[in-house]
Amino acid sequence: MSRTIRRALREPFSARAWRELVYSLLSAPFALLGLVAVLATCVLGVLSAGVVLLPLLPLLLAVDRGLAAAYRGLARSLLGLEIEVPPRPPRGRGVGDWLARNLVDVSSWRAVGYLAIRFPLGLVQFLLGFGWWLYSLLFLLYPLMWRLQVDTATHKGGGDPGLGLAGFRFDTWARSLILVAFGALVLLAWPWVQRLPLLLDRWLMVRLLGPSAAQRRLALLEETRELAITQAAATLRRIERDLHDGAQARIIALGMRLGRAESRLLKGDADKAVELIAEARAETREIVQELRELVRGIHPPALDAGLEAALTTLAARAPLPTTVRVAVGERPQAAVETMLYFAAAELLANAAKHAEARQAAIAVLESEGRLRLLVTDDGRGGATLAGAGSGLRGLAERVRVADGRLTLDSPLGGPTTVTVELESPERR
Amino acid sequence: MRVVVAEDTAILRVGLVQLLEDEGHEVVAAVADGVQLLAAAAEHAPDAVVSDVRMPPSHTDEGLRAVIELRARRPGLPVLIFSQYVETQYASRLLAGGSAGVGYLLKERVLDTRDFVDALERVAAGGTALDPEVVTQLVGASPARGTIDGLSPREREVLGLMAQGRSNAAIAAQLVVTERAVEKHVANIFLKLDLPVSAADHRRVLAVLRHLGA
Repeated sequence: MSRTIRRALREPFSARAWRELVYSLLSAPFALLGLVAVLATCVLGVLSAGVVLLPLLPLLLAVDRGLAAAYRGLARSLLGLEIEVPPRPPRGRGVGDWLARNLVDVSSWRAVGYLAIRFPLGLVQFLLGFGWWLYSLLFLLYPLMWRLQVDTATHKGGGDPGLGLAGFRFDTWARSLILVAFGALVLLAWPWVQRLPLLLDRWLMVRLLGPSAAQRRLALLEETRELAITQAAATLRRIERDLHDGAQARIIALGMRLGRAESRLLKGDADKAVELIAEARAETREIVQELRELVRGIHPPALDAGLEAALTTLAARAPLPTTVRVAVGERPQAAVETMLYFAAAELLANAAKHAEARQAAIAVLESEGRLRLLVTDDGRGGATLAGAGSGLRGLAERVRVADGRLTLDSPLGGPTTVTVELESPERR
Repeated sequence: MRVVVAEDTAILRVGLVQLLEDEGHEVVAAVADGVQLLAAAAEHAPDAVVSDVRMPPSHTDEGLRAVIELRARRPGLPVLIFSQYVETQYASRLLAGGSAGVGYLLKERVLDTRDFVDALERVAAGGTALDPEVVTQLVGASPARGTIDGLSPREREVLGLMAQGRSNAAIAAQLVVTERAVEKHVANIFLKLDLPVSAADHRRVLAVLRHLGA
């Protein structure tokens, strides 16, 4: 209880209340600016029916967006409210295109909407924030003003100094203290009163000054598409490098050995030639193995027989004992199967390499149209998604591209469970 | 002959060294990137340099840049580029400083051990050795392509072999025709490409390549 009282007493002197006071003070000029901008936009919008003024409208909308940006700045610095910047209208090709894109830009018109609502709201904010505070200040400083007034009045020989209420005059020190006490009460209430219109304001800001749900979705899709393109390019690059530095180089080396064997034979050095040919044969076996690994890395043949078959093969080849449980109804799409397989392969490799695990378990479960892959190990835990170059983060990004989600539970000391969740809307 | 070898893939580097040593050449240094190549060439002053193109750290054209740098420091230093790819741009950059003592071969050429060593020896002697693939691409990418199109298939074949640095006798042997026939083809090529006739093999190449815009 006493804590609540102490908090209430301290609140008028908190940094937050003072920042909000500045916001309330600025609300008046901003509300007026907003009103002017909105009116100009609307008037011009109506006049634009005559086409001539149409090109001016985007400029005004830019002003509206500028004000919205200023509000976002105020919200960040004074209200501690971080609002995402909505995307700018795309540039477009040619004047007509530019015009069209600007005139239908959602964020601009949402900004106009905010500015329109903000005019009355801003005035209320100004009155309840700054006005209320000033009011309390007047009462708190009453004795001082009363004294000053008495001095001046005596000097000039004017009328009764001080305030009065129903014939009662606050014209002594003691009486003026009543008003001071009233002022103190007003001041105590001030932070809370000031915050009332802010409740609505914050709600509006987040909805009108930030990106819309569609814009957010679009941004996510753009980002993940970018990731998908980068990933595809990286995959091709990796395969190219593997072939270039691996099989291709080895085959050339193999050929070199055979060439040397040939010249040895021509020189009559059969022993050395036989030795070189034996080396070439061993080399051939290694090349075949390497190509097999490479093929497995592109598309594991076992996946054709289904996820369970592929994961069982994967587990059998894993360096640590691994159990596999697959409980899905119909077969998911091939792309989903491939993604889950490679996620499992990577997570299993992590468990063996980084977690010092002794055993692991892979499970693929299905519920409510979602496929979940769980890879658990009994290693030392403490895995994180943070840090660039974290393999786990790369995997999380790949999962995100497929509209999926990767979650990690890895307390220090283990066990670690990584869950990859994918929608499975379509079947093949 | 004292050779410096630069190749980042260990298995090929070792193979190359063994092959050259089998053929009686001395490999004074075998390195794995461009920086080491510059250092090794400065230290050993070799008779020839054999270098890969793609090497660490960026795996783009380190070898080529190192070799061009080496030839800038020591003009005429025989260099043989040994790559898994033909990049017209690479070949053009390499040949921009002159074709004397320059070679550009695809890695599989090493399978014909004798041919490879011949090419290296030709380069070391100040000649030219361009992979047929390199020549084809240079001809294909050339701004003078319109002119080249005026050549008969046989003449184009001869031009390709000329660009590889072969003599008329070698071309005749390769195409299984008389040297006289080759001379006729060459004269026709010079005529059609509007080039003056020259005796020296590598000056022929130079002329051809200059005409091709390499």
